Formats: sequence, C-alpha cells, structure tokens
Amino acid sequence: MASDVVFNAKALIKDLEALEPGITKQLKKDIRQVVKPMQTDIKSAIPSVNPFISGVRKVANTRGRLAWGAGKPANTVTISFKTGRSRKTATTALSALVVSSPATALADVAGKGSGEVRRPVTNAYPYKDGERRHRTTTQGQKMIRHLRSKRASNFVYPAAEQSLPSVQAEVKLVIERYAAKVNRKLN
Amino acid sequence: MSVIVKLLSKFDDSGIRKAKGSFSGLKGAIGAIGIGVGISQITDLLLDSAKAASGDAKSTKLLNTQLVRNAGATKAQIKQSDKFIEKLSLQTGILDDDLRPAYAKFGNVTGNVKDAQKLLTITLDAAAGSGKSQTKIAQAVAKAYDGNTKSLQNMFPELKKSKDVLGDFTTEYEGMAAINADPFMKFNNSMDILKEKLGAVVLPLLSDFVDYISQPGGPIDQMSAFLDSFQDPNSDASKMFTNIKDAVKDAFGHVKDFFALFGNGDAMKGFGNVVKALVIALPALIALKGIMVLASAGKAVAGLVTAMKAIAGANAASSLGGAAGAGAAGISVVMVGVAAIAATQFAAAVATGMADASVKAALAAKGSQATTTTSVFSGSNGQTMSIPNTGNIHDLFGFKAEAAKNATNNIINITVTNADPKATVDALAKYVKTNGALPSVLTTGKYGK
Repeated sequence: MASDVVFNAKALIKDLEALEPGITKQLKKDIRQVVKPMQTDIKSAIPSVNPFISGVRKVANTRGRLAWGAGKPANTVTISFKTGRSRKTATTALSALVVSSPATALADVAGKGSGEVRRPVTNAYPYKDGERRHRTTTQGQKMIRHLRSKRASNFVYPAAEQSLPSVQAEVKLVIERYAAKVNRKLN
Repeated sequence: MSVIVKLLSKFDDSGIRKAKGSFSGLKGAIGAIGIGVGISQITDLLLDSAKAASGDAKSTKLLNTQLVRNAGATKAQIKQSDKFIEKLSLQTGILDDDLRPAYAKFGNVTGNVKDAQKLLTITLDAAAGSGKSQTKIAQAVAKAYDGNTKSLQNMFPELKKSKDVLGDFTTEYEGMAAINADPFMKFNNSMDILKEKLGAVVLPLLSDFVDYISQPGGPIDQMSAFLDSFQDPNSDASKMFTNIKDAVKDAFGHVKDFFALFGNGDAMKGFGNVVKALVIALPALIALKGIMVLASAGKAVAGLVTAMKAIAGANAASSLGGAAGAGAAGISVVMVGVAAIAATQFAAAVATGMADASVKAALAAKGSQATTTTSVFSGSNGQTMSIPNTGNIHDLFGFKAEAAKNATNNIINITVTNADPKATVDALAKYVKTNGALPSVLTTGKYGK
C-alpha cells in the first residue's frame, strides 16, 4: 500500500531540534501513540506457536534464527522512524512497523511459491568419509498447502490493512503538525 | 529478513547522488585509459597525462634530491624508491604525490632509504588501522625512531607497557593500509599511474612541439603578425572582413525585400502573412499527402510538383512556370516564392472548404490563376483518379456535395480507374498505418478482382 512521501525530512528534524532541543523525542512518542493500536493488531495476528509444525509429525526446529521465537519473540513488532538516506533508493520509509523475527517474516510470505519439487534428488554432499545424496520429500508441499492463502502476506498485512489508511493519515498529520511549528518560526 | 509495513515515506536522493559520485570517479578513471572515448577526449587525456607527468616528474625530482642529500641514496636506491612509492600507492590507494613528502621526511630522520621505507609503511598501516591523522603518526614515529617514544605512546596508550615500542607498534598494525584501502581509490590510483606513464611518453613530444611553435619566426610569431594586421584598416585581412560584413548586410536587404512583397511593403507584416499561410496550409498538406498516396497506388503522380500542377490545372501551372522563367534571376526567385504561396493557399482551401471563388480571387491578386473544372489526375501509364465536381463554384472539387449526398455517414467516393485496386487499398492501409486514421471514416468498396 503506497504511503505519502515527505520531502526534506532530515532538514525538518534538524530545524526542529534547533527550535526546541529534544522535540524529536516528543515527535517519535506522538507517532508511537498513533501507531500503537496497529502494532497490537499485528502482534496478536502472529501465531504464538510455530505454524510450520506438522499436525502429523510434531517436530519443530527449536534452534537457529529460523526457529519460532528463538532469540527474538516471534511477535516482535517495532515502530521505526529513520531519517537517514539510502544509497540505493531515493524514497525510503520514514516511519514503518517492522516485524523483525526472521522466522515470522519467513512464515508470513510462506506458501507463495508453486511448491513443486525442483530436484527429486539432491546434489552429492560430503558425508562421513565419502559423500551421499538423498531424495527430496513432498513434506514441504504439504506445509505450503497448509499455509497457502491467496494473499501476499499471511499474518502481518491482513492484520494491518484495515487500519493502515487511517494510521498513515494520522502519522502524516503528526509530521505536518511539527513541520508547521518550524514554518511558523521561519516565517 | 523482516516484514516492513510502511507508514510514511521520505524522499532523499543525496545517498544516490553520493553513490553516483563514486561511480563518476570510476568513470573518469575508465575514461583516462581511453575506454570508449572520442578523439577530443583522447586529446584531453594526452594533455592531462602530460600535465600529470610534469607534476609527477617535479615531485619525484624533489624527493630524489632530498634522498641523495640526506640519506645518501645511490642511483639504484633512487630507482628502487620510485618503484616502492608506486607499489605502495597501488596497495593503499593513497596518491603517490601524498606519499613522497612523508617519505622524504623519514629519509631526513633515518639517513637511509631502507629505514625510511619501513617507517613510511608503518605510518600508513597505523593511520589506516587506527583512523588517526597520518601526519601526526608520522611525526610520532619519526620521534620514536630517534628514541623518544613518548608521543607515540600517548597516541597509542596500549604501547605504554611495551618494551619494543616501534616493533610492537609495527606488529599491531602490519598490513592494515592494504586491507582497508578503498577499492575505488586503488583503481583511480592505478589509472593515475598509467596516466603519468602515458604522460611521460607524451611530455617530450609536447616539449618539442612547444619549442617548435615558439621559435623566432615560428607559428606563434606568424599568428601574432596576422592578428596585428587587423588593426590596420588597409590590410588585406581587414578588408576581407569588411567585405563579409557588407555581403551579409546586402543579403539581409534582399530577404527583407522578399517578405515586403507579401505585406504591402512591410517586411515584418509580410513575414507574418507567410507564416500564417503556412500554418493554415498544414492540414491541407496532410490532406494532399493522402491524395498523393492514392495517386501513387497507380503510379499516377510522381511528386508534389506534379500533384500541385494537377490540382491547380494546366493553365495555372504554365502561367506560374512562365512567370518564374521569364524574369531576371532576382525576380524569378520572388515568382517561385509567389507560386509556392499560391499553391499552399490553394491546398489550404481544399482542407478547410474555402469557397472556390475566393481562392481564385486570392490567386488572381498574386498574378496567378487556377482552373478546377477538371479534377482528374492522370498517370503516365494511363491510370486516372477522379474526384467528383458538381460545378458549384462554392464547393471545390464537389467535396461538400458528395458529403451531403451521404449526409448520414459523410462518405466521399473517390474513384480510381485503370489502376490495380489491391495496390490502391494497400496504399490506403499503408497510409493509415503510418499516419494514423484519416479525419473521416474511410471505407473501400470491392473492385472487381
């Protein structure tokens, strides 16, 4: 969903700080207040247990960055506010909600592929003193079927979509309110 | 990996511009070795290279003199020093011109080339590894070499407990300059070195060239004499420019007279009239192009002149041509201009549906005439194309009458006889494909074959 674009955000923050030191903190607090309900919605939409676990064979990955809730809770949703530039794109997010758990991010987009097994047998890989290959199972396809929906996102966007336009408008209003302070001072 | 829900975006292209800056530096470097450059750029490159080589030669000479005086360097050592600086510059991405002063300084302190090279390498490594000022580290290292390690220890407190300050310092930062070297700078440096090498070849040639052009009685002297001659109004060069100025003045007078013919003696008004006529004629010319396409289907009309003759009638064409051919050279130009204007006005009338009578009146005012009773185009192979003429003087070629006859669909029938019907239809289709749909709906009937 397209969001509005703010020009000279960095300059705005600089001018605000010059006008009233520490005011950026208040700006971020205001944005957080506006975005909080949506953050809660997304958090509650993220499953508390690993959606990858098969109902038949309950074996879950409990270690590593792709383990559900390992290292970072699966429902971690942070509110970001960045004025820094990018060397790749001119338009970047000024404020965003970031679901930062790798496992959640993976589960959110899972099931969008065809699920077809590309190679029925893997390439040879070193094993003990020699090497070996193994057949690719169709378990992945079953998991995808379980997760599949016609949406681009499984949990995050469905939870955010309804309130997204109003939250975007409110965040923009917050920025405009602070920009008006600078403009008033300049004029 | 994370999912991002954008709430508000910002536009800031300064990062991209910075990235572009790095790449333009790379582009400059690539340009410097002559990849994808034109002749003028190669010339610029040669001059730049010669300049760089000249600067490089100067700084190398300065360093070498200092090494000989202060470090007692031999010829072989000097040669090796040049190679050392070049290699270090390539490894670290630091310009050789920036390395030489520090190297010379270490030469003064150590009194021998080998130690100077060692200290320079240590300094660069430490500067790259610690991010501290290269000049300050160089000063501290020079003092430490003489036994005063206090500044170096103050700068790097971890050396305070060391028994071999310089040795430990070297071990800690060894190879850091090469590791942290900016790849863009390294590349640019390599290109600069190549440029200097190229310049070293060009420089003697350039020097010979400068000697040649500046010799007494040489090209520069001759050019100066030529330019001086302009100050004398009686010189040939000065007279030549006066003639050019007069010629331009005369030509402008003729152009002015030409346009005055169309504006009752007022050139500006005449120019305005001509432009206006051309603007009006634009749709007519487009319409004429359509007629030309139809005609070319049967190879009936070869070019625009023939088409205009056919539209204006044989009498008009001959009278225009006669007038053009009868006068003197200056007059004939004017008459050809009049004929062109008459033709464009005529064509404009075809497109805009102006009354036949007023077109004829306009032509008569220019000393030309037109006959519209025959609206049949004939080709050299006997093909004809006829546009119906109702004889109504207010309806040129009967377009209006024909349109009225088919008032519902605004159909105008254009009959092409004795020509290949398929070629006609193909020509129409080709015209529509190239120029877009015609203003009115165009349909073609079945013609025999």
